[in-house]
Amino acid sequence: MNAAPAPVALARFQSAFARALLHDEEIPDAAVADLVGQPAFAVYRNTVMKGCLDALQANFPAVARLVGEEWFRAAAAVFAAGELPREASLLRYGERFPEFLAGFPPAADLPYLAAVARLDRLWIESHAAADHDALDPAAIAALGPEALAATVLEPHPAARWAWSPEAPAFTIWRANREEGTGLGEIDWRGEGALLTRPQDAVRATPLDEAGCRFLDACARGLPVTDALDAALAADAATDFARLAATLLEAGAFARLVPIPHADSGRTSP
Amino acid sequence: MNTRNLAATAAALAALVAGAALAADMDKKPQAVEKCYGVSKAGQNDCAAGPGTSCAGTSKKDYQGNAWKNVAKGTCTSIKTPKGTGSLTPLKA
Repeated sequence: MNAAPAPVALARFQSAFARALLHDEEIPDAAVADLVGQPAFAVYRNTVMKGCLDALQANFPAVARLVGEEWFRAAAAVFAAGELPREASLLRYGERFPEFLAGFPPAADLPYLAAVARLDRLWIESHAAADHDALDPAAIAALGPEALAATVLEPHPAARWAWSPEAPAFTIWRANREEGTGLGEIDWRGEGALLTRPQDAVRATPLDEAGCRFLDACARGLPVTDALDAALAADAATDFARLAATLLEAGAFARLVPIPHADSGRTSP
Repeated sequence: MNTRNLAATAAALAALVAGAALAADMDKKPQAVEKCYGVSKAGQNDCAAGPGTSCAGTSKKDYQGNAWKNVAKGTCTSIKTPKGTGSLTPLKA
């Protein structure tokens, strides 16, 4: 190789190299053009693409099972060509893959595919989130209704949830994360899911729209009373005892944060 | 702040607390879990030293061009959507 390149030259070399991984033509850097001419560069290209596809297939197992490996890898290659990983670890690679599938015309016949991909993605996020003890339900029980009104329930770092209005994404997702579960007749309606990691393993719980809206409000730092309103707006008949039991039993919260003046409006952090 | 239905809010808060008490009463048997950082199911965490990653990659390209134009062969074929067909239709290129 040449003498050690200056920082600017190095950056230019690297960006030309990254581009050459995907494109044959218009290589602006002479040193990179030399490399591309070597037979081994094809191996390099292939290895990079294989790494991307393996990572996407590992990160989106339900999607891969739904569409089959051949279709998945071909579609994933289209995605990877537009978005190479940005960090060395591939654990979080594919953040925008669900979005990509939503706009990928060949997937238009599978109206649930992007929502299933989102659940695969949320599983990764839950799996890789920071450790934290889950809120002990007894703490809320001990607090009582009045004090609870002036409290923010902070979601657990590993809690993820999604409401899919269009399709029974949770049923389809769960059936395709587990081996050999058949799907029979599906009741075609919107579904929500809650992912938590109570004992170092991700757990999936069905959650209705009211529950998802409740958690949305909690995540925005709103007091419990506002979260109640958000849930009631989605379902005026929300059963809050059942909702609280579901969320707390799953370990959806990290802690209770008292707010100084419950009705004086929103305090920014 | 908007006028709330105070009675409804109070009832909802009481229900939340009741639900919390229920969750607290559930018999929690925390399983003994041993943390093994960096260890995953066999075969899922290998460092990709298999075929395709080394010089073996020269023989076959790993990305199969336009295979997404073919009919998907996975479990989606068994799912009936309100639109009817449960499978991706092949595109005529």
